[in-house]
Amino acid sequence: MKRLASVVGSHQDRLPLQSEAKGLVFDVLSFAVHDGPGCRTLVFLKGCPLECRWCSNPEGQRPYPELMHSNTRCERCHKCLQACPFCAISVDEEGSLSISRDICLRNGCLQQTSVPCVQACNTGAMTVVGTCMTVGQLLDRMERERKFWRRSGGVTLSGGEPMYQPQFAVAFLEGCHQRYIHTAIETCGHVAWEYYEQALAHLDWVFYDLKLMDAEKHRQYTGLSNNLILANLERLAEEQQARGTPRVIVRIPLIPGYNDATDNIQQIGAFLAELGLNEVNMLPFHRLGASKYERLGMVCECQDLLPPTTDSLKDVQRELERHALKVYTGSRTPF
Amino acid sequence: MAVTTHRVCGDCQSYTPVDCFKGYCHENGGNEVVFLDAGACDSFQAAGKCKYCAHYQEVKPFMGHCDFVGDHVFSEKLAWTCSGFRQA
Amino acid sequence: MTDSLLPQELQYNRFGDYDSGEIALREFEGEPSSDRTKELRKQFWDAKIALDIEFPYYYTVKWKSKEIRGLPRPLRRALALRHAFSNLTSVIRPGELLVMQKTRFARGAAPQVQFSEKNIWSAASKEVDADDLGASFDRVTILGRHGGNVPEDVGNVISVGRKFGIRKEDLPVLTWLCEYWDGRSAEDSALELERRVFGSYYELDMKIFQTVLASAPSITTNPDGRVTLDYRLPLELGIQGMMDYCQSRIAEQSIGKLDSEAIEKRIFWHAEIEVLEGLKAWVKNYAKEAERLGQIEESLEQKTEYEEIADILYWVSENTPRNFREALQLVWIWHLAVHMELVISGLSPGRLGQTLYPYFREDRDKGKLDRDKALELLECMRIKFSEIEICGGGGLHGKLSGNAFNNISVGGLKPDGTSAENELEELIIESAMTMATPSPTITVIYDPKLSERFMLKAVECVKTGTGYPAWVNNRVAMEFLLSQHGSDGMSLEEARSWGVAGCIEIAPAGSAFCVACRGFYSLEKLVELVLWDGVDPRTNIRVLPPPSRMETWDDFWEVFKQYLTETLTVWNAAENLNWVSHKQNITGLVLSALTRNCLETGADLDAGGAAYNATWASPVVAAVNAANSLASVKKLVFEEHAISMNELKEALRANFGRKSAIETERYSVFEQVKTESAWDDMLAMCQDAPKFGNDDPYVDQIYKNIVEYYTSVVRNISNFFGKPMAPLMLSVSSHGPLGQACLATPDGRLAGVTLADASVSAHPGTDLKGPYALLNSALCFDHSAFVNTQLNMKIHPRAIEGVQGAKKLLELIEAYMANGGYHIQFNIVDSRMLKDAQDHPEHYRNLLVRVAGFTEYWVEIGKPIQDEIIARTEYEKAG
Repeated sequence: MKRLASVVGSHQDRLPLQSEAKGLVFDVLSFAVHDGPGCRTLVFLKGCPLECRWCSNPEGQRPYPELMHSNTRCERCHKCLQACPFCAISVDEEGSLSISRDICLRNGCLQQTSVPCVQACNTGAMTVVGTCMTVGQLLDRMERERKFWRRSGGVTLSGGEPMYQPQFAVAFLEGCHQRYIHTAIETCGHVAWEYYEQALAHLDWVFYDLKLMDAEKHRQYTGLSNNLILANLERLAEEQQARGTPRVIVRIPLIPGYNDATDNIQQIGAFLAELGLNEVNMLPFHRLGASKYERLGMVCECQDLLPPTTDSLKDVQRELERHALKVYTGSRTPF
Repeated sequence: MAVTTHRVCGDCQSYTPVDCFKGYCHENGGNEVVFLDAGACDSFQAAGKCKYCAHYQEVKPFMGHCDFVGDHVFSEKLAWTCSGFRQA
Repeated sequence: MTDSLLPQELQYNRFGDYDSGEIALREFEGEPSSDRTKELRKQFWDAKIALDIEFPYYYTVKWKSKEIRGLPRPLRRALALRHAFSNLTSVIRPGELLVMQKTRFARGAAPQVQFSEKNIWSAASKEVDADDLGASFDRVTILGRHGGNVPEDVGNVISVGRKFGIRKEDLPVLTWLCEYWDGRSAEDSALELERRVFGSYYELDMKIFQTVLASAPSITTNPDGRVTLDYRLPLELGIQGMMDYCQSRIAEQSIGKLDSEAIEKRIFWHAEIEVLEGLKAWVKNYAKEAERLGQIEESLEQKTEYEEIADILYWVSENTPRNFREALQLVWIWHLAVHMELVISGLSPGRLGQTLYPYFREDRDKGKLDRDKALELLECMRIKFSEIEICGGGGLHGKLSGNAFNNISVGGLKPDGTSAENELEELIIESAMTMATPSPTITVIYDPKLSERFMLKAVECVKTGTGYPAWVNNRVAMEFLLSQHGSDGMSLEEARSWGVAGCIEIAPAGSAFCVACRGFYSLEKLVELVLWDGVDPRTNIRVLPPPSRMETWDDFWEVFKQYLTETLTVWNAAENLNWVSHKQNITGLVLSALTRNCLETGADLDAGGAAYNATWASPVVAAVNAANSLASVKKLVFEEHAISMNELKEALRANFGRKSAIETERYSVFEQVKTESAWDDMLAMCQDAPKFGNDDPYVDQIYKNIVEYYTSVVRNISNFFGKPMAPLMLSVSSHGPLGQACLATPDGRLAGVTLADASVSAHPGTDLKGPYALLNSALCFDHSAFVNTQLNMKIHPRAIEGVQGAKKLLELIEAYMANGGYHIQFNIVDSRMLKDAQDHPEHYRNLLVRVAGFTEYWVEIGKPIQDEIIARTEYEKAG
């Protein structure tokens, strides 16, 4: 149900710049200050191979546009219900809206520029997340952002998993470099290496997520094993040693009860030290994304989870530092 | 004739105002916060106000005439810079 | 935080608990550096705002006295001022290092009835005088009820204007004063003159106020302002020296050549001497009081302090200062004196860090002043500045929200073009962090030559969340100054020496004729007039004749321009007319002594004595709302024909089926209460129409057209001295009352909701594309044509955490400036804190926020402005 092969794209050889290549973007965020050097703009691409239980950008998981419905903004006027040509919306006993999202998907309704239920909604409670754009359009948008980056800023590609749309991502990164725009990427690692290879030619920084060293636990908590992720990180580290670029910073989202156990941290530390990667940005779990789950009609497994305590953060930091790693906690980064 | 009123802290020589409700009392060289309308203590000494002056003649409530300056004055006026003040 | 630039005594709030449910605190919170200043701050917080009738009483008694009432201007005024200054009661409070105050009360103002008595009388008697023009503005003004405000009568204290307390025994005096000045005040004589010689324009002018197309004319509230002072003469000559100077100029005059011009100068110099005598007596009286207190004080430490104060005051009552403390004291005396002789907002010390630097440097180099002591003195100065209150009717307070807009500028360049930053300026910034009070506000004059270290220190101050410093662009300012005053001979060195006046206005340093401005003109109300063919829909008053045609967008735009031209021209011309009364009755004589070249030339400000006499028109407010409204009309009515003009007007009248904000007391775009659904679709269309602040050329072009047209109109209006007026855009907090006077508007704004603040800030909640898009919109026109432009941004504390966060905020500022932006300022706060503070003001006595060009205590701000600030889009880190 989740993954549509046509959107993902097939394995292909290196692609020349295609300004008409299309991609699904779900957000563009200005004045991002902890996602690379300088003041940056974050571009979020929709679609991800993983389904992490703690995901704070759930709207980025699926590779197609989705409806988001806000109960707080909803006036229960039911205009959306009436406007829907496919009867995908109904009302439950309490009067709350219920959306059969598989109907929306099946009918390709959300790919259109004007979506009936969104048009009918007067309060902005019903919105679509995920807009189709060409590389050219996105680059033009970046040029508008650019005057605020000064000399040290740039673009950070994120998501979802940006490399889940490899043609688009690579074309965009290439376009950035052609315009002397500094590039960074935030990636989960579960990507065919040949796509990374193409992207690396146009990448200055890589933020690489590493959550769990145990393959079974990784599958249990994210939906997929970590073999590819670990293998890719090794090759990335080699690339960095060989060419001196890109700068690789490993991102560890710290999720209490899921990946904060000492043995996991120890193993991560040892693994990274072995690869010669020495920068880690630890991201304590937070629940700022909680309302998005509700709006997507999804359940967040971690909604009652509390963020890590100061002490546990210190413990993890100490453990990692034992492996001669430089640890940046949260937004306390040196860039 | 001077207007005799109930003795409150705000009419005392030792009083320095902060706002319309309160001020400082310098009695005994200290700096205690007191309320303007609070009943005065035994150390009360009338401040140099027109209402306590022999030259003052009330014309209507809180307003009057002064023989010394020969002009309009008001009862709460402080005779700070007046050389003619004479306790009634 | 170990790589902070701040000393250890500043406290840091920790971000250890990453629980998103917690309200995020600001990253830094300062504490006063000594017990003394902590205590002084506590006194300040505990003080209620009071009205003191002493100054106007003595002024009036002398003014009407037989010997002088026949004398010409400005001599009669000078004598009255002298009498007032000489007879004031001196009050010194324990622990003070800098002394002297405006009234007997810690936070006090005088009802300056010689300027305008009607709105003061309305406020005191709580009856509205039918002639009180401020009344219409007052009626729509809602004020804060906490902090130092006295919103209601309590015991023996009467509330005036819902803000000031006055003793009931003083009320008869106030009545007597108002009765005397009824018909004689500058306000009354100005309006009577206008009625007689303005012809039919007078009626149009009156309608402008009645409909609240603009706020009450400044001659009824505060005519003076937006100026920086030149302390050169007090510091280099001293009070006695200045008197001697005036005497020498008089002595130079040849008796055989006393023509009218020479006589006027002679009169002026005599007037100045009188005022100076008054100042001298005033200071000496304070010195005597310090002596007296020293005699009765028991504590040896306090006793010695009183004796020191007495010594300092006796000295500076006549002489030039011998050290930093005396220089600061003398500057304070003069600053205060201007505040007392005029009803003035925006009186700014300017580049104080430059003015006082030689004294500071000498004391430091000789080991006579250590850093802690200097910091303590500056903290005392901050308390002093914050004590200044201005009294006008409720309308004034809704506009000003209690702030006096005294602005100190740091940074910028020296006349020789090098960076002007210095140790004293750093301490001024630091005192703003340790002693966070609303006043004085601080502005950084950004220039690329400033060191990164200095600028990052200023950023750390921004992070305390007090809202200052604001940042302004030196290059844009210099371009404006040379364009505005170049033909009057302004040199490059003078342009470099400029200082920020008032909120953020570009002002020559201590050398300009100044006006506050006539009032605040609402462009959103103008849109309403166009929609309703010249009639104000709220009051049903016809302001202008109906247009001849309104069929296309071009017609609509033409009518907008035409209505704007007519009303703005009349309204600004009336300011000059009103100024005749200002000149006649209430000229700033202390201010003239502090403005180059009045004493040298022998003419006060109103007689053209300043070096630079070009000023500005009254500011327009809500250009953003007007642009949004016009965009809706253009797109929905004239291009897409989605709704007809009549349908739109019907929906506006019905407030889109919502209750009025005034009824619900919810003034932000959110939390509005619906009564019926018939207009939901139309409201959605209007709200979805293009909005300024999203880098959308459709509406940004309309905005540009509006402000450029406004500029062309005012450039064709002469000021009092025949110079073309310059365009000015700002709101202070008038966007509250002006919004309350508007119905629902085509931008999808509901009736009574507060308008957008400042000049390029988006209407709250409508900037949806992030901060860079907002900045791009703000940059759609040339800022250097304006006396100022103003942009407020709200940023969540976590978005700019740490040193890197600070550097990136600086980069944002620099990028905006490099691209031509003039001004930017920040509220660093979690919106949830503001909401909590609204519900529990008792826990947030010390919470400061930035309104629009000034910082104010949250609890003292009226709810309409509070709601607007909460609604402003907050930029925070991505999830």
